[in-house]
Amino acid sequence: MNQRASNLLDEALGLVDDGSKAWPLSGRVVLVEDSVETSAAFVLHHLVKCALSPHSSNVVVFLALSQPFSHYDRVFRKLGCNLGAQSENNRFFFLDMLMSEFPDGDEGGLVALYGKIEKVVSSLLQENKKCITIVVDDLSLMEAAANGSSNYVLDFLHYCHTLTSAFGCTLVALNHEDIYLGMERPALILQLEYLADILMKAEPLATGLATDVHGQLTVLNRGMWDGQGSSRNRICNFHFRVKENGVEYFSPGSRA
Amino acid sequence: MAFRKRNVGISKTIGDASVQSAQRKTLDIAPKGSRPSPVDGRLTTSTGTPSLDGLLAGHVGLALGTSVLIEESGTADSAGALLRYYAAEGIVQGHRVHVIGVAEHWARDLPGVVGAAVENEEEAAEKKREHERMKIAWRYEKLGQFEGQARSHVERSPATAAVGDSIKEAEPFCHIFDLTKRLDVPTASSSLQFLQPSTDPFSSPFDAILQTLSKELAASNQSTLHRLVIPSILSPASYPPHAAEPRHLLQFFHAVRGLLRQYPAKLTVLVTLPLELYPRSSSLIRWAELLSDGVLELTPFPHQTDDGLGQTGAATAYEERPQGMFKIHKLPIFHERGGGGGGLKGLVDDFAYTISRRRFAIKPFSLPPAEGDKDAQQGCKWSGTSCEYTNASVMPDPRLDRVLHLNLFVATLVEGRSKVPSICSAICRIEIFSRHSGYPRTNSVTEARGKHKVSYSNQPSILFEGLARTYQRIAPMEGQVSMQAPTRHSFCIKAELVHMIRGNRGAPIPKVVGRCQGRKPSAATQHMCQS
Repeated sequence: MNQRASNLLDEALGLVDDGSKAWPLSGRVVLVEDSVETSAAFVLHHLVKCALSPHSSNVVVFLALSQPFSHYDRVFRKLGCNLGAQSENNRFFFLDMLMSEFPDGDEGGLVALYGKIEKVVSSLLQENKKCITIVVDDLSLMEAAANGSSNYVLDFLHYCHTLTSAFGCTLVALNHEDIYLGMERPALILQLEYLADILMKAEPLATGLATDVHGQLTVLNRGMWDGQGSSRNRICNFHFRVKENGVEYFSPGSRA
Repeated sequence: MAFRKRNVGISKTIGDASVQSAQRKTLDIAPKGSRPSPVDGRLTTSTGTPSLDGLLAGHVGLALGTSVLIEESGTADSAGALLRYYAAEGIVQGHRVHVIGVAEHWARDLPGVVGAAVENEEEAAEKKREHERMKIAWRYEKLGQFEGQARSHVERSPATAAVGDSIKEAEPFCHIFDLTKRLDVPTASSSLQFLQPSTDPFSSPFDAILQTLSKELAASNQSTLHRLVIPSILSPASYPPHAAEPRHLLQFFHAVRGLLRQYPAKLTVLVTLPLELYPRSSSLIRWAELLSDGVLELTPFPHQTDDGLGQTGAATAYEERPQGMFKIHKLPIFHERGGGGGGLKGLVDDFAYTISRRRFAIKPFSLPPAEGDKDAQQGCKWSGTSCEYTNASVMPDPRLDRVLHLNLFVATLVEGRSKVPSICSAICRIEIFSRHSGYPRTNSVTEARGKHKVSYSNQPSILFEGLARTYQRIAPMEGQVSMQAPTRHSFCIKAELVHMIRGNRGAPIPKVVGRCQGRKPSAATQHMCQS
């Protein structure tokens, strides 16, 4: 069972699994954006599930700021992935940050957090595990915990970015675009979008609510290397529908 | 089984005696006032408003460990009624209710208990419903049952003043409250606690509150539920101006979220927010929405001055006129995986709310037919010589067959006494377009012209009536009718989307699937209205 049925999202990300390629997302930064009406948590779940699949030997470091472990356990169980077993096999590291606060004027909290992550990464590298994925659930909550000082959060992200460039990790972050509406120069989101190699936006449909389509997902993939060795940007847009134990993706208009 | 306990209401359809007894054992541990949700079994508690319970994504109650933010535009405090029901329900169930930002006299406005949404009275009605049960999923059937109880409740006379006596052995999940009666809060009890934000300009106004809350939550035992009620957060009457700074407000929301996750089976939070000062387009409010699990919005209808014109069409369907639109932006639990707006049955409709003495009712809102010749004013705005009517939802059932016809009716009414018979004409443009997902936007415009000689009479003279257009299936769709007409006449216009269905005798019968109507007054009355 080497072939996994690939869906539109996997194709857009280049995650088509034919068993031979290395983890195509290594060394890249993925930014997922959503809004209040449409939540893109399912994208994170999908990426973590791909990373934890039995074919690959990826390790996932998960920074959870919005939900406790029980929530993710429940969600991933429905997707067919046992987080408890994976964390015992040292493939899944969960950093619970729900109650942590990084008070104003003290950068120590975020630096300490980075220190933890770096320790985990370097210990994994010593065991010769190549592909590490760092997932941050909800950067905006990190900003809220840091009392709105986006500078510290940006510093933290830049530190993590060094991990991707130096060690080939993958950084996946979730943020929300509608909370920056009122600002003139929303530094955090702009810098993130500039930094990201893959930008995914989940929005509600332009035409309003619908029963069978929950929203649309736009994937901008920068610097996709195709066979000829040239790089180009690639934009995909498709609709999705969230079900109990999975998500369906389909082209716009193909739902009768 | 004449007497059925509330916490085995779900297991009835399982019908297995051993399963029932096992469930009874586990459910007895559930804290008072909560019950497992029919969707995934997590504990939920009632918000005090049965129609709101029914909207919470199938869980029929607010899940423990979640928070809901209710935003309201306008200056009327309809959301305050929701909060009062919530607090009163908490007191009646014996929960510990913390209220922030108001003084003690708020407790005097809490509604008194009138009756209870009792389940064991519904045995006979339920048996009947089982017979006429269609192919509804059994869980949704239970949903209807929970909702139906509140409507056909048995009113018991509040014989004694003390609240505790009106609760019988079958402890109900949700009580019926009456806003004109007052709730007797036993003064010696500690169920109600008031906390005030501090006005110290150098620290966050919410710090002391958070400390008290976390101490209480840590100290309370497993079976006490806590409810946090925050009426009109950030209102200048109770909160210092620096409370609206992101670093204080968002810190508070973040800390409350942390408490909710830390004590997932103990706390629920209901917050109301007046949108007048902090509109939804500001990033602060979006951030607060992000940090809450559920977001609802109330938009009151503008007050209509001419109530003497008869009721608007919507009133024929309900007892009282709906007072505003009720919008759901985000629901607890349902959205945490990314479930979007339309996924749940009934969530695509527009909802409108009505506050009456007895209840806060939230019902699907649609424009029903107008009766006869009554000119109803519906969302009319006029500018100069033309006026526009937009219909909120001309949404035919997409299962309907493909051909729809548009019937148009334009009549003119001569007001006052016009001595000279005149010729009036009107051009009516009808635009139909589709908003459904994935469908190409089709925009079809129809123009209908009519010309008629009008002499003074009190009856409307019909300018144009007839079949304006036939449409292939574009489902669902919206219509917009706009009309241009000379100023000195007043016009009324009615457009109907009609589907011809085969009648019993074989002859086609028109079935109206959507309506739109409005009225444009003549210049004389227009002038009066505007001044």
